[in-house]
Amino acid sequence: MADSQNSGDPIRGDAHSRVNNAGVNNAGVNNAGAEGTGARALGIDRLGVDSPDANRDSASVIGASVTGASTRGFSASSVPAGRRTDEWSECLVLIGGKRDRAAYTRLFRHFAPLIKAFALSGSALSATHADELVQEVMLKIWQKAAAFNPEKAAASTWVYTIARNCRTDMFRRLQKFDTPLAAEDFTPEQSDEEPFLQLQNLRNADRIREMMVNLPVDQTQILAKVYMEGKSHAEAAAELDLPLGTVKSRVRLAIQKLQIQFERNRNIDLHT
Amino acid sequence: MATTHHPELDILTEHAAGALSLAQSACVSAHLNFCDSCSRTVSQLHSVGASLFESLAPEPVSDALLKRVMARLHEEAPLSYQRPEPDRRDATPALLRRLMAGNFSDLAWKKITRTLRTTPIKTGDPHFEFTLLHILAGGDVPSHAHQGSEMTLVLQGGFSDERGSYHPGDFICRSQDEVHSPKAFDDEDCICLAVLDAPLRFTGWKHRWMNPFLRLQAG
Repeated sequence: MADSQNSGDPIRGDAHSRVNNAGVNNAGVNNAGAEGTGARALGIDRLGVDSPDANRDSASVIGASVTGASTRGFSASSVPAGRRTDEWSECLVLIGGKRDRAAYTRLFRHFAPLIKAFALSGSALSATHADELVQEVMLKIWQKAAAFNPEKAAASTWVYTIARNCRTDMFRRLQKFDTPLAAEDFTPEQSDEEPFLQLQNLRNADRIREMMVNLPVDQTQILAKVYMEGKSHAEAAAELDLPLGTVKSRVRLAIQKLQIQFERNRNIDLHT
Repeated sequence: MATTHHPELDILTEHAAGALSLAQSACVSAHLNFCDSCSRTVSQLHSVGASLFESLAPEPVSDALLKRVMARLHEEAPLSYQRPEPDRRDATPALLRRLMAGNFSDLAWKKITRTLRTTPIKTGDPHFEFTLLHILAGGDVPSHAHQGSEMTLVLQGGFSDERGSYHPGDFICRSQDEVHSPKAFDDEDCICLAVLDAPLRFTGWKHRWMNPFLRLQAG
């Protein structure tokens, strides 16, 4: 596998084709003696990256080796999807239940660089605001960890949801929206679902993660614009110089490939 | 009764991604309160976002930032994290109750026609108007077209138009220049939420004179 990308390269926001640099970073293994390897002992250490740890000695920058020395841009077919999640779920449970700072540091080293990348996607936020967002999200994770239920959600989905909500709120603050609503108010409280449905949710999440890797680039590209850059379909269409109908049908195809069920109205599709 | 009219997939996707405007997102969220099926779709659509998030190229974060965060861990969480217990007897979505700061009867309704009253609700969205419509049982909304798009969500009662009948929880999205003339069911008053990005335009001769007075009331 060739090392093709460097830090600061234009891959930012261009989220397809990789699954989380999994499987490649030897440095993470070298450093395995450091704190925080315990929770990683899920039989996936060699795959398990976690390159931020590798960086501890170089001290000043978390995540640099990921963007620099590690190999990215490969196909992650060998990664057992859904597995890695368990490590972070365990971390969150430790943080929520025992206020475990070592687990929190581990979680920080993994997620903070992702949150920062998310903040900078579509260059919507300045570097200062991006750091502010990282702080805000990471603090919220500490404060809300007790509410995390590994039987209901994957850790990454839980963290992503907080990051998305905080970013939306920050946008609205910067644009001086005068609103009584916070982004988290827009997700209705989940009624307590049966264990069977919860399990199904987790399986769906695993399946989606696995299948994302196989989506054609033109579909992932649009999903990344919408999800990571927060663009509407219309904005994505304008930026990519594509007809709106094409953008919508690519999203629809992607969602169908991921086997996500959705309601179809009997009426003709008024929206396209 | 299960809802039969749902947001299109692209709207749900934008909602899940946080890419929808505030007022429109509030309307979709209110539909999710009524619709388990779309809620499940949205929760899977969140997983799509999570996968993309996980595969972002990490941006280096300084150790100083980690130290700053660690130093703040003792801070109390703001109170806003506690949400009120959902009230099962009240079908009105929590988010809407919060925006209305009261019940339907507490709002300042403005009479438009003999059978139609409206009240704009402040959401803070500078581009979209978020309005409640109250149509008397059996009454109609004058035939109108939209200069922009219109999202409608039935909250109580129901209505029918040229395309179908709509019950509580049903979500309808009409695009530009579609003319329709909704009529409330005969046995119950109808309350709907409408989200507009441009003022309505009445098309019937009887009501056309009102058009200059219909202004978008976003905010």
